[in-house]
Amino acid sequence: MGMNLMSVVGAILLAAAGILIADDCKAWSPRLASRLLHRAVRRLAPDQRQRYQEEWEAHLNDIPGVIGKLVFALSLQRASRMMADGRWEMLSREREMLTAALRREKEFSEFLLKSSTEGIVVFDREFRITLWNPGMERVTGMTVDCILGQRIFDVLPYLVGTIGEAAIRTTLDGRETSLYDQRYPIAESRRDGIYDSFFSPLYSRGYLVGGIGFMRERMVGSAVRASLGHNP
Amino acid sequence: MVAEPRLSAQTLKVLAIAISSPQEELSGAWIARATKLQSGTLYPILMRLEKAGWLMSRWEDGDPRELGRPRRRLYRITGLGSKKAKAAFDELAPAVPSAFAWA
Repeated sequence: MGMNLMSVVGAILLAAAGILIADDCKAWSPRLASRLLHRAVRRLAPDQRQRYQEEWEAHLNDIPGVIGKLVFALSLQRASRMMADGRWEMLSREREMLTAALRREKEFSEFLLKSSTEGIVVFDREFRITLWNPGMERVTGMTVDCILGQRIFDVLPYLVGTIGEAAIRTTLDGRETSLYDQRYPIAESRRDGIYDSFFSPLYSRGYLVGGIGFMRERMVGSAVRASLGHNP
Repeated sequence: MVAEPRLSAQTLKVLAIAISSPQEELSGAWIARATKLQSGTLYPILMRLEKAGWLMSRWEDGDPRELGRPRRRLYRITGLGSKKAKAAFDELAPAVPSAFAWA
């Protein structure tokens, strides 16, 4: 008697669970089928996507059962792989590889710029700063956030009227300049530094687009030389 | 120049359906039902046949909003497709006379 009751209860619970699962499947399957269809469409060449999106949606709409719709959508995965333009796939792969290579190169350049103990500054033809590395932040005490886009002579006003200004301006004439043991009073870092600086013009596709400057602090070396009586 | 489609058994099934009603325009779903081909097999075939100029397709008339469903793409065999399919069936007919009794 007890066993029979338990069997009946078990059967009722199983039936209830079955109904719930079936309801859930019914509710989710259209969404799943639609997702599978979109996934298949994305694999196609861009000029084919709109057409097959609509065509396959119409076909999906013509299939009555839930399972049939899912089978159709699953089968489309194979269709889209076969229909995908090999050339488009190859281009996509090539583009991905190129993008990855460019990203690695960019990350490496950023790593070099950040790791450099030298201050590196890049400016455009209007002398607006487009790059200011952590080395420059250390030298000047000014962070990149408040520097980018400003004119270099506004940021470093003590350069104006000095050989430093002339060196920077000369880069836009396409010439390189090296300055040794220049003393710059850098108020922001409260350091009266002595620097070697090198300025070069920057070219892009043959056109002069600005200049790049490297600043190397020479305080220690200069102090040693001065104490030895070899100050140039 | 577009390569001629490979005439597999499935491609021949599609062609047989298309050639049996040359004036009729058939949707993908209809062809799938008639040929019993899965979408994974059918659509690549339809695409290849269309690229080769053996089939042509167009959207059915009507606005999807008025139809209350997405528009169907309708396929029809072209003159070239008809000629090529008949030639293929003629070639195959002596080997499998009953399988492609389309004419």
